[in-house]
Amino acid sequence: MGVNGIEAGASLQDDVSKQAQEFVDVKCFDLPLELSVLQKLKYINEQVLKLFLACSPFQLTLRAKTGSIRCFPSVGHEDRSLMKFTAIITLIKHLIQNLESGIYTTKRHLYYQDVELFQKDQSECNQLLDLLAHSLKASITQLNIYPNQKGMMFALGFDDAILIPIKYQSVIEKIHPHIRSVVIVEKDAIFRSLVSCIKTQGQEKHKGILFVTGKGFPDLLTKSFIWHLACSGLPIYGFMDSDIYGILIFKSYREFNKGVATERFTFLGCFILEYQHGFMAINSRDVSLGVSTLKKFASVEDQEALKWKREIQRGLYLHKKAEMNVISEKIQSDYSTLHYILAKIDSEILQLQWQ
Amino acid sequence: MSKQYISTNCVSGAHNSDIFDVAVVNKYTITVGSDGYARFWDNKLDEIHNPKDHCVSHQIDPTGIHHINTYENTLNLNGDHVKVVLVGFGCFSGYTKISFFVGDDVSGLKEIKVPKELQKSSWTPIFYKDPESKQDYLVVTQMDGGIVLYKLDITGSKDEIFIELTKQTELKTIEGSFPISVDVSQVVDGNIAVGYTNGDVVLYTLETLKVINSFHSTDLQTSGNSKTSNAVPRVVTFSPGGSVLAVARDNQNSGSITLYDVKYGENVGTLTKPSHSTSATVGGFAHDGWIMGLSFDDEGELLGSCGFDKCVRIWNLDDKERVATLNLSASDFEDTDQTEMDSSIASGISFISKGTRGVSGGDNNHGICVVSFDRGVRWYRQAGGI
Repeated sequence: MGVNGIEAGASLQDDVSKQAQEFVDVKCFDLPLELSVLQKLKYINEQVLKLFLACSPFQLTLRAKTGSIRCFPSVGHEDRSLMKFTAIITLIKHLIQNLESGIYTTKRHLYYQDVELFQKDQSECNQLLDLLAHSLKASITQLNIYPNQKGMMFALGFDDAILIPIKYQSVIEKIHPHIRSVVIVEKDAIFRSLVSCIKTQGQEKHKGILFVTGKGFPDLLTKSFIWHLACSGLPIYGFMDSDIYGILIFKSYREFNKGVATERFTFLGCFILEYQHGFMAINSRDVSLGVSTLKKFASVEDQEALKWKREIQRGLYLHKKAEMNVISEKIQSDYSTLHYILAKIDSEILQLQWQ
Repeated sequence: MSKQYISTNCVSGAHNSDIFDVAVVNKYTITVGSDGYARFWDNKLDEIHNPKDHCVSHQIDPTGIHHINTYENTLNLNGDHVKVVLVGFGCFSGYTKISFFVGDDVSGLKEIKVPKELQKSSWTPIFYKDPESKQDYLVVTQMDGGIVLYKLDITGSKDEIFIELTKQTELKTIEGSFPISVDVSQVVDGNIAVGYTNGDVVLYTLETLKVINSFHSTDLQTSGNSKTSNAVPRVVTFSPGGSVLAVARDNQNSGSITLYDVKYGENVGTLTKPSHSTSATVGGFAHDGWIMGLSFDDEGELLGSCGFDKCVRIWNLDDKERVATLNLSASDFEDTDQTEMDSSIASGISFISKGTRGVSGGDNNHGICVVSFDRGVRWYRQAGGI
């Protein structure tokens, strides 16, 4: 209140600001180190509950990665920050529940618990989770949140294709002795028909191949899984579209980390010159993405990246791309795509192994 | 009547990657490719030499070069006759680089500073050398479909050359269409032809960029998106007299060549190879693959074409008959170090005027130079007349 005294019947505006000044802070950061993540969350939850019951105004304060303090609700942004406040409280409740009962979840799953609450924007949910995790000095996985399992894998001997497990290390230990090479397929549809083909017609020679798909741009889990396999000495082969995205996807696997393992990645196709039919015109986005990728490739020396560079240049020069399409109603094209992959596996991978 | 061509020279591994284009000036055959280098091969040597020993290389742009165009002129500068050669490079970075050298000394190749709009998203440069020596121009297509026209002025003295590009006019985007090919007719009141990926070839006046004519693709099959056509006009080139425009279009997986009369805007014929097929086809094809290069001879009597089907065809324009076919293969080279990415697709062709190449018979016969995705450069000359 003003020092000079304010007349009785102060404006509503003053009333609000008075309340704002009396907000009690519920600090979500700098909590005692000896507390576990679950204990911290419970502590915050209890504080909130207590203050609620006492009808005293309070705000949650969190610390962002940048070090700045974020308050919910915050004065002046009541609309949005109240929504976020509710969202954080809801997230805390879910996290406590998951941690207590040992349930693993994904960011996406949490988002779908109440889409409206996150203003129908998953990045909103992700941001709040990151903010919360950082304030608690916990990693996302300590909150029992794991990357969404998007990647699939299959090898002859599996009943069916399975999701790449979150704790893949143990799986690798189990299957690794039998695996001699890894084949990544860009597209889910091709992966599935490849799996059903190998399942029914697979031969002894296909036994040593682990087939993986990241369904387009791979998630963290799939990339780290592939990287792990590469580090263990297995060669990694990629079958992608011959367009800028196909190359960027394979690049994202290879550039997950640095080291000698990068040398084990080989792009096997498809190449635009191998195509007979099915070329598509590239659009202006393909062009600008291609140009900016080429600029990044300007000084590459290694043969593999030079190969990708040449493929991008060809696509730009010809103004075409070639997709490894599987269109289910066209059995013919489905067959030819699989035939192409299997023939390449024969000539490029298996031949090499016999040598 | 068929013609014979004799291989006079060939170089394998001329570039480290695909060769995309070739241009011939009097002293040099210039090749460019995706390794970002321009290589200048000496034309004035006899048949028995290893071209690699007489090749001058300049790195132009690390993202690679897709097109080259040249301008060669002997100018009167302060009383001295000075030969200046300008070389324009269309680079994948979107940067159009312009370099020049004086006389025949390409080791002194110098890059000039180009206007800002040529540094980001330009595609192909083409020079116009005015036959009346009044005003030369540089035309550059932009990735967004636009065209920019610059006045080209060369001043200075034999010791120091100044090259000035002054923007005269520009044409804005043709929405969503990419200018995949361009040429300028080197005659008085020249024209610009631009081939767009929507299938159209548009003819403009040079100085004002006014549309004179549009040649639509006859392709009946359009993909859902009307901005792209399967009949991509991959190469356009004017005859030396500027009266005929040759357009090479994709036709499914084949390539067709159509000739247009520039003045009246009429289709004056197509070039087709004889087909033994009994099935009646509406249009014949010139190549069993996309066409990637076209070149007229000096007289405008012959047209050379090359492409995905790994061959070069020479056409007589009088009767529109094919007079020669040259097949390319990796076995053309004595030493082959072919990699899995190499393929003898013929990506560019240029006729060589009589008296340009130093080889025996080079004075009386024209020649051809062909570049390829197998990283080789091949020179041929017309047989006979020695």
